[in-house]
Amino acid sequence: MRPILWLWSLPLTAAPTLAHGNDPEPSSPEELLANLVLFLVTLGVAAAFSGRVLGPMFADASRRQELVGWGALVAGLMLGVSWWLARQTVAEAFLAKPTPPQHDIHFLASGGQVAMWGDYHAEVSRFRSGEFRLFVSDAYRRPISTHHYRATIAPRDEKTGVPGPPLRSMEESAGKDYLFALLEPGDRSVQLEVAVPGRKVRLNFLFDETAGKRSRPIECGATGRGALGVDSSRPKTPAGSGSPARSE
Amino acid sequence: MELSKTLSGLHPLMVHFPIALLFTAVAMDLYAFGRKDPRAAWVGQILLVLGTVGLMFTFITGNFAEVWAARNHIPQAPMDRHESFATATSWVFIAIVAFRSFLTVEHRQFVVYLAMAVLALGLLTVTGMEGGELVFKYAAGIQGVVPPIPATAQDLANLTLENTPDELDYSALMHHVFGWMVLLLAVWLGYQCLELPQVERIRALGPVLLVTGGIFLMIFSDFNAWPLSNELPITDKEVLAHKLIATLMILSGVATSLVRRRPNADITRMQSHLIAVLALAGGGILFTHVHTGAPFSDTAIGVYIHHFVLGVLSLSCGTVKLLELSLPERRKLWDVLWVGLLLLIAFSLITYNEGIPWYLQ
Repeated sequence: MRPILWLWSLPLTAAPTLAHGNDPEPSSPEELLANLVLFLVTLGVAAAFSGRVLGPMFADASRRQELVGWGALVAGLMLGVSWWLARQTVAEAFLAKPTPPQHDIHFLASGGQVAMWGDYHAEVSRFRSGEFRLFVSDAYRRPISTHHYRATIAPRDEKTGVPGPPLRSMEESAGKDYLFALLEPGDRSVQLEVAVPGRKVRLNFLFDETAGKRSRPIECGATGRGALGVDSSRPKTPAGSGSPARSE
Repeated sequence: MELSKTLSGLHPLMVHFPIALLFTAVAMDLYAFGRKDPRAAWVGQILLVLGTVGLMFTFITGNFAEVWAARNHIPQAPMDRHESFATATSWVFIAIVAFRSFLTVEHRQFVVYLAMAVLALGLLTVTGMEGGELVFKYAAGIQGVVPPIPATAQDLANLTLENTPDELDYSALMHHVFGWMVLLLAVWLGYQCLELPQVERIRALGPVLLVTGGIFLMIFSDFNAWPLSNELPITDKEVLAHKLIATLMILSGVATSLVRRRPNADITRMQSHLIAVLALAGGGILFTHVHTGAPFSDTAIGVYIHHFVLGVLSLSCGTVKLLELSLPERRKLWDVLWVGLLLLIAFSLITYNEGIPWYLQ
């Protein structure tokens, strides 16, 4: 094929495929180098040994045609896989790395409000019962387990914004996907202090139903994520059961 | 889980073996080349092989250390850097061992080997420096200390990843299929060792099995990579390892088929040499095989334990073939051991389960 056609194919292959496993970060130069070394050494060793074993067979003129045929097949295979790897490596090394669409992915996954600091997103949702839920995710909005962060919550005076008692620690959900705390039904303004590795941050939220930052209704027996303590994929939590203990 | 912590704790111990052995090996070979001393060259070769095997074990213990360090919120980017250099170093040394096995100190290509060895030592040095930085700058493996440079949001999200049931089921299925294939290979070899009837016809089946298995693996290794999907690229470490193994299987099958028909030639020694190197490469791939879907989950720990066992078996296969070269008069013993090891590998694959191995639960 003409080289120009391969060049046009680079963006097409690279654009959707810069992810590795479930990590959306592009490969670093060291990782690309390690891949190439692994590949070249393995196939180089195999080819070198195969050459030594098969070499004397080419001296037999009667079998040369058959050997050339098989050799072409093998060479095509090795060339194809090598070219595939080289093309992808070049695409990843030299194309502009996609930056996380940090300002485009502030969607409300749980019907709450989203805040951001550094590479962290926090979505806080409020139910009319007074329950607050905190979901923390990374720059790509991939969820972070509650095992890795803690938070405290306190109601704020709606007029002065000053946080007041009681300050309480938020508890882990059973699935460790969010922290929650139950305040008074009238507490619509809160301050959260979220502790992630290496830093703490204070976030203020006001749930003003008249301004559109709405609290969620209490949903008993509803399906899907975000319903009050119910997930259709798990057995329903019996009424009156205790909160899960936080693991240290 | 305790086994994985024990193995992770062995990483600081194991690193000393490849560093000491490989530097000494190259020094011995430099001396041997300068003085044209075959005894020193022999010592150098032995140290080189032992150092490279040590490197493999250092890598697998490093995989466990990486999981536990990440769980202690050590940043993953410097660990990835250290791992990348370790991968490059490991494979360059595997190439060197293979190349060196054909050389004597009088060969002109010995100079090429020495140049490659010095380059590989440079890579080893960088790997060691990156590893040292992980400890002194990032406090990896230090108990009771809060990491001075914390994990990032992406690191925490990676720690949260879990494989889906579909991914786990598919992976287990693939391992089982190849377990049965290895079992067939073991039966094929055993049939030849016992020199049962129609052995010449049966001999033709082995290469067919290898090529068929290679093509199957090339297509179905990852359901989220080419050709079944375009979600993951070939530069994904896991996808690359699978496609590499598939390519090796096809090459081995074709080469074995051609060699088998070579008239009037004793190709046993060369075949044993080739298989020894391929077994070393296979063990190396297993030891340096990283799962990228959920790299720090309990499933990943279990997979690394599986790979450790399979990698040891693969290296044992290579050792048997090397012993066959050194002591050909005991051919029958090596044949029995070879078939026995293949049966063990087949059993391990057929009973493979994603996560902590069944024999440790």
